[in-house]
This record gives sequence, C-alpha cells and structure tokens, in this order.
Amino acid sequence: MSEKIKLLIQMRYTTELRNALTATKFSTSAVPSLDIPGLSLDENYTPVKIPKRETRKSIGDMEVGRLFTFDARPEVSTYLIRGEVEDENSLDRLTEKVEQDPSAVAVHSDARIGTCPVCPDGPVGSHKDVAHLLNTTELHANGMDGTNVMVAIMDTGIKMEYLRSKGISANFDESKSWSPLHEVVFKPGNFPKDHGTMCAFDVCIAAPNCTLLDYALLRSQKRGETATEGFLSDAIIAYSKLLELLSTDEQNKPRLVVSNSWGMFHPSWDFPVDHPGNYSDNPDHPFNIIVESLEEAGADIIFSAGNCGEECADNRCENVTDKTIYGANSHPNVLCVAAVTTKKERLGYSSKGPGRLDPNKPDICAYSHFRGSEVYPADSGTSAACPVAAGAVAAIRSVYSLSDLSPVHLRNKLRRTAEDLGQIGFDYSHGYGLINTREFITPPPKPVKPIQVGEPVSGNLRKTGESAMFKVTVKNALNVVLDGPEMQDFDLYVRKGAEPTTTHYDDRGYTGTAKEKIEIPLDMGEYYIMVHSFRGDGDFSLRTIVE
Amino acid sequence: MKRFLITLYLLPDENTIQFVKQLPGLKEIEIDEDYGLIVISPKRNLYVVRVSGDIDPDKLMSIQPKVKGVHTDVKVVPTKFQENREE
Repeated sequence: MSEKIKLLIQMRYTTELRNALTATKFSTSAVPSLDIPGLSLDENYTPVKIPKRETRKSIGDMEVGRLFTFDARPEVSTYLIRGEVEDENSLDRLTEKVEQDPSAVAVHSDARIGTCPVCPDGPVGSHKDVAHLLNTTELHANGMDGTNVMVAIMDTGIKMEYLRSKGISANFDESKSWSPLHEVVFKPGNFPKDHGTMCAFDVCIAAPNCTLLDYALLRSQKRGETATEGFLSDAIIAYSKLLELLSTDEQNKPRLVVSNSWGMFHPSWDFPVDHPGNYSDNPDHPFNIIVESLEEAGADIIFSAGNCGEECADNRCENVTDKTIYGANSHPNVLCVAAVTTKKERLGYSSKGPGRLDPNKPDICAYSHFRGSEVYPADSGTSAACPVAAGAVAAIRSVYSLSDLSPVHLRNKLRRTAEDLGQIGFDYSHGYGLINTREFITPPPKPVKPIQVGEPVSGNLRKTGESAMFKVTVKNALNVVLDGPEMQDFDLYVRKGAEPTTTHYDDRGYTGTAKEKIEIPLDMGEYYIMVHSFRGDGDFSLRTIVE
Repeated sequence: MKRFLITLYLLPDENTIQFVKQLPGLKEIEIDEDYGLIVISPKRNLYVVRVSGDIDPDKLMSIQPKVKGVHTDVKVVPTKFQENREE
C-alpha cells in the first residue's frame, strides 16, 4: 500500500479558525469548505497562525536581512492546518478546490525533515548545475565573466596545465603571482594538482575570463607537517604582495578578488583567547590588520567559513564545533562563505556563526560538494563554496568598478540580495542566505528620450538600480523637478554633454525620497537627465521648467 | 623553537630591517631576515617581522615602544572537507 501524502493547507482568517488556536482539539467543522473526499485533516494538530508578511518599503543601508515586516493581528493572518490525502489524484482534486476557494490560500507539502543537514557521501550535482544556479548564461551575456578582473588563489598552488585540460581558458599572470618556495620546480602555475587547482577551477565557473594569480601560501614546507599547510606569516607576505599590486597605480586600480579556502581548525593551534598574542579573536593580530589594509586598498576578499559544523565536522576540529569561524575567516572586512549543496541544503560540516571577530558570520552561502574539477571525487568543503562565490564576485566586478561599488557596498549588496535560507533573515547556519547574482545583472541600456522644455514626461522604474535617461536642450536657466512614488528613493542626476552615471555627474539630488529638484544654471547646451532608483520601484513624472 | 610575529610602528625613514635589528630589545632576538620587514598597514605605519626564541612580550614592549604587539604564527590548512577517518 502506498504511503499517504502529508500536506499543509493555508487558510484565511475566520472566527472559527481563530478559536481553534486555543481549543484542545481541532474540529474539522471549523473549515467546512475542506470537506473533500480523500482528504483527512489531523484533529490533533492545532492550527498555526502565520503572521502577514510584507516587504518593507524602506530599508536603511545597514539593515541587511531585515527585508520584511510582520503583522500578527488575527484577521490579517493566515492559518495552517495539517492533513493527508490518499494519492496524487486526491492531491490534484484538493489543489483545484483550494484554488477556487476564497477562504483558502494554498496547499503546501509537509515534507519529511531530519535533524541533520546533509552530510553526503558523494557529490551532489555537478559544476554545470552550479553554473546554472549562478545564472552564468545571463551573467556572461551581460559581460559579467571576469574580464579585466584578477582573482588571487591563496592556496596550495595551481596546476594550469591541468586546468587547460579541463577546458579552462582563463588568463594566468605569473608575473603577478607569488610562491613561498624558492625552488624552480614549483613555479606559480606549475604546482602539483591539488586543492589550489580545485579552487581555481571553481572560480572559473562564473568567471571564465578572469586572470588567475597563484599565491601558494599553503606550500610553506619549512615547518609544516604536510605539503599543504602554511603559517600566517606566509599569508602576511602573500597579502603584502597583493597590497603592493593595488598600491602601484592609484588612478587605474586593478580589480582584485582574493579567494581564501583555508583557516585554522582548532583553538589549540592558537594562543589562548585572553593572550595578547592570540589570532582567532584578536583584530590586532598582524594578519587581521593586513586583511583590513588590503580591503581598504580595494580588494574583494572572500574566505571560507570552515568545516567544523556540528552535524558532520571535519576530524581536525576535534569535536569543537562552537564558534569555529576563527580569525580572518570572520573578519568584518571579508565575505565569509558557508556551504550548501546544489539542492540548496546546508552541508552539515559548514561552520556556524557567530564569528570570532565579527559575530554576524557567515555572510552568505555558496554551492559545494559537487562533481567539478575532478581533482577529487567532489569539490567539497567550504573550500569549494569560497571560490564559487569568489568567481561570482569576479563576474560582477567585470562591470562594476570600485567607484560604482566599493568592496563594502558589494558585500552589503550580496548580503541584502541573498536568497534567504533557513530561518527568516540572518541566521548562523546560512548567514543572509544563498548567493544571488540575478540582482547584479545590468539591464541593457535604455534609449535616451529627448524632451522639450516645459514638456511633462513620465516613466517607470521596475526595480532598485534601474535608470531612465532623458536629454534636453537648455537655452535658459531651468529647474528639473522629479515626482515619484511615496516611500521610495529615486535620485535625479544631471550632466552637461554626456550621460551621467551614479558616480559621474554635474549635479544630483540628495533627498531620501522620490521627490527631487535640481537647478540648471544658464549655461547653454545639451543636458542629460537620469532618474535612478536608489531603492524601490514605481511610476515617476519629470518636468523641466524655465525659472 | 617558538616562532612569533612582532608588530612594529615605524616612521618612513625607519622602515628597514637594519633599523629594526639595532633596536634595544630586538637586537637580542633572532630576526628572520629571509622573511624580511613586511608592511601590514601603510596608513598606520605598521610592519611585522618574524622572530624565533623565547620572548616575554610584556618585557619587550616595555623596553621597546616601537613594538606594538607580539603574536602567534598560527598553522593554517585548506578547508577541504576531510571525512572522519583515522589519520
């Protein structure tokens, strides 16, 4: 006999449902419209009230993760009832009935859940699935492919020959790479195929045209017990080389993403937390200082969260699974990445927050434990999630310069636009949620609409970041007046002789609303006017008035 | 032998390993010259050297005001997942 299908039915408010919240037993008579053959409701399941969720109209820059407001008044809330149906046919009948029932909202699966996130034996999906989930087709079609972006792989070294054999065509710059070894055998780009090669492969999923730099800091063999471990002193030198790279040309700063799939695994590797020489909890440790310096110089720094998640921690964690995002992995100036499968299930080994330096870690999740580089059976650990995210950041950086989006603003936008997983909003397992590149995809440029002085025009901005462009010939001093929707923030930018951007303009409005006014002085010529949604969407009107 | 990272505050005309080596409190310590003097914060004039030996951080900082911290040189490893197995 086949198993019954368990489900949850979401109903709108009725006084009967509200009363059912406090009843000892749920009576099916409270929902007469659900008297459907094949459906049996669970009388032992007290209906659950779901407060009404609304997208917040206005969100401050620092309010990442607080995207919704909730109204728990009974009459605006909905109510979940549990039941089961015999088979697929019954489910179809129920769904159809619910769709037609004004007192019902939807039928949801009551999926079986376990106490553990996944600890898979083998790979879940492949790098092609990761590419699909990262929207790489759309990203690449919009020029977001890592072009003109350097990605430093801070790891065990890269084997470029192997990457080429796997179809990777990213550039490689040996002159800007670095190795702690003075041997000729292991030059940057020619290290044994290992962890670093996996990371480079995973960066190229989203950023196939980036320029890889090889920083083999985990090949410091002077004191390491194995060939793939290093010391923070090596990482400090590596970071100082990158700092030099960004300091050489202030005017034309290169775009640099730094991918770090490494960390410490146990507090015994460090001085005690209360010792002034401690690393894990100490922002004054020299490595934590140089991380801050490099980010300030313009680098996007990405770190793996670590593999000490309690559900299936790495054995090097030695059963310590509390507060295991140590040191720079939890630095406020980096993006700390947790791991999920291509099915968006948290990998149980992914370290949970709070972070040691910044409690609000991890920042986001990215994909891991997939069949990818074939350096290993699976590209796994937060080690793979980190370069997947770094590749996505490099793709974004191809079109967003540092003046368009500074590292801190990029991190904030990644947090704010992440696909929420786990608990609503930020949580210590998933951070702000799963990396979401869709919000960064630049819409194709809109045509410039010529307007006449005095002619009222209207338009519509569909989402945050969208713009509309107009052009007017000025023969007298003018006022440009924008009127947009309440509770939204649209900005007005004006530039003579060229299209303004959010960073290049002659004048702009500074209100926090969608109502703005700019005066154009008597300086004859052609002026471009841009209406830009800093936050929100809706219709607007624009007028140019002679003073 | 224990290894440490010493953070130093150095003015632009002081930022050489030779200058650091002759500083009271530091000239008695084995400084890793191969490692060199590394700038960690150009804005704050902070540098780091790698040293070996037994060091009393409090004593060193009281002798030498240019020393701003004595820190551990932690081992770090890749975060590739290793399943629980005997090493």
